[in-house]
Amino acid sequence: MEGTLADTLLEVKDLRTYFRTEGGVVKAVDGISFELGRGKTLGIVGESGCGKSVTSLSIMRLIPNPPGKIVGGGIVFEGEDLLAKSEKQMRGIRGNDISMIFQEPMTSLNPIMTVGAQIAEAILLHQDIGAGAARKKAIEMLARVGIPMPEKRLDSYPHQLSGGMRQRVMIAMALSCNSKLLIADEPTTALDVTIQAQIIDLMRKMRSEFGASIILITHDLGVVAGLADDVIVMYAGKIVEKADVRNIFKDARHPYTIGLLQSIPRIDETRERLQAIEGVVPNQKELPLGCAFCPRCIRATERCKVEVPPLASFDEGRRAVACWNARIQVAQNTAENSVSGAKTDGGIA
Amino acid sequence: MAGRSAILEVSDLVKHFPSSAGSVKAVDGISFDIVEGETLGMVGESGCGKSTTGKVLLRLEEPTSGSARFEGKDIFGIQKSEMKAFRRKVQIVFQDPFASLDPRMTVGEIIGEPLLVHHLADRKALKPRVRELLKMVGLDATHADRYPHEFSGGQRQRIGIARALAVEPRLIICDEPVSALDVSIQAQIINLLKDLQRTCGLTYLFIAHDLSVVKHISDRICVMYLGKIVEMADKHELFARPLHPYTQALLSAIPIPDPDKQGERILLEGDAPSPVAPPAGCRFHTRCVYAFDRCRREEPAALEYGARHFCACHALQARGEMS
Repeated sequence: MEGTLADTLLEVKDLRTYFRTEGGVVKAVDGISFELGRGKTLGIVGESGCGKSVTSLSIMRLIPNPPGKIVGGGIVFEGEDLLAKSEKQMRGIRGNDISMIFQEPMTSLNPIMTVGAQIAEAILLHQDIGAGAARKKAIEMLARVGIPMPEKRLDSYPHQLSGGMRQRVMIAMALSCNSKLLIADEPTTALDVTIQAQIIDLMRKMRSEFGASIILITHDLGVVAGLADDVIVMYAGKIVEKADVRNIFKDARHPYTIGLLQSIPRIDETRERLQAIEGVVPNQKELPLGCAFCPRCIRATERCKVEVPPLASFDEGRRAVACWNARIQVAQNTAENSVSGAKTDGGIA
Repeated sequence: MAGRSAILEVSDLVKHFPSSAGSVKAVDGISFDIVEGETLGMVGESGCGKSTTGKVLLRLEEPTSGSARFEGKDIFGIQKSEMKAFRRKVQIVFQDPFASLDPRMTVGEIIGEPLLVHHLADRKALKPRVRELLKMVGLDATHADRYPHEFSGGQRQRIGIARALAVEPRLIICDEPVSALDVSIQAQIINLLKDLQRTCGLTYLFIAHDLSVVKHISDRICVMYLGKIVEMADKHELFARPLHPYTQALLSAIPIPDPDKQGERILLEGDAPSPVAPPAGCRFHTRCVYAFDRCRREEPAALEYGARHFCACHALQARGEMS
């Protein structure tokens, strides 16, 4: 679990990204660790302000400074520490080895350049080929992401395309550079449900055909269930639970994860009344002393109010939960040891 | 709902907007009714006309043609002088709780304003009534002196609901009331709307794109596509037996939060056509796998398949005639 395994693409170790604000320091990401294997998809789930987007911007080294700053931890990508890279070196990595797509593709595309020129620019910037070859490759990529009449679409401007088409263009750009890691931040949130299904399908194809790893950041548990191999649940800047996708949905241990799953209306079952999580999503400037979820937690005890629970691994290091009251025994396994061992990370790859 | 009368009857409602590219056929001939005390869910994707429908029914937009009756009275014939009385009975809750509350008014003023406008409380009775309304929506009576920016999204939506409730309406049009909220907060608001419906005897037109939410809260659901209602049925019937190819695709596209239930999806090709130039015949034919000649020429009428299950589809009709 030291990031030396050949199949580990990305390792985030005790990452801390803080923001200085008028109201004090906001610990947007406060000591999170995870690993991502090659060809794997990691889902990061959480609500507004939980730190999921700051995590991805930290990996890309795109935290605006000031007010934000990565104050501690490490981000190791293919064995190299991204936090030690110069801005110039990062420019060579962004959009090349690591690509990112956002909720609203219009904000990440240049409105006064044709989509073809933008894809070709990315190719020319990172690959040693001529303009003609880059254009040909751009057409090929548009076709591969399912854009009809790619030769024609190449000369379209972003505003002439629909939201779903724009997101396809963004994915085509990532593919054309053979990105090893795609960070998708709420990639389908702004899209209609039938278009969302198309994009999810495309991301699956991309993973199997190109072998890319994906970090999928979303609030939509349905999207996570359909795409992710492993899942991290974040709350107030910390990881509260991590596990493989089956265990998150079938055997969640953190009261917040359980609460989230119970609070959503479902089409595959009938729920008379939703089990809402009472209270509000916490304000990062006024976090409680102990567990951040404590004020909303139905199982909170005195200890939860004053002491932050560590992320304790169990199930032979495959899962972890940060809760004083969570059941961490797994059948045929004595998980208590791993708590006292207080490993920082169980490893998710 | 048997025995209860329709509180709202909409017939052949049309709303076109002029634009430089030609008229936008946002709503293009829809008919439905809502029975007192029920929730009718209205679903569809962006541009299908669902929000426009809500606005036209409140007369926030004027209709192009068609009729709508609320408690038997023609909504579109209401004169300016009667509008206030109508708006007392029909209220709306909007999607964005940040945009729909005046930032310079306290919560007490926001909720109290409709009470004063409609002469439902004098200055003396105002405060206790505002406090009562705050409690009804799960807020604290002391919140009345605060401003909207001091509240979270979910709390602001509660304020918007309290404002709608202030005039004791009969019908509330909910336009995407939980779409802007966090997952854990959505459930609170959905539960609140359900509780209020029971205690205050409310009728809802619930407009949303999220089918899981709509299924949870509605009694009946109508599915819209490009300005038309393509299918309408009791919610259990609709989910158990979706008849229209668009409904089938829509239902199968919903991501299910269970890794073991990732069945085959019906993937629709391409995007929905523009409402400026909707396809001739059935509007869905350009993306429909069952489309045949007739679908391209002739618009399908809504026919009843089983009790109160309406669907407008030539292919379905043809199959029914063959069997």
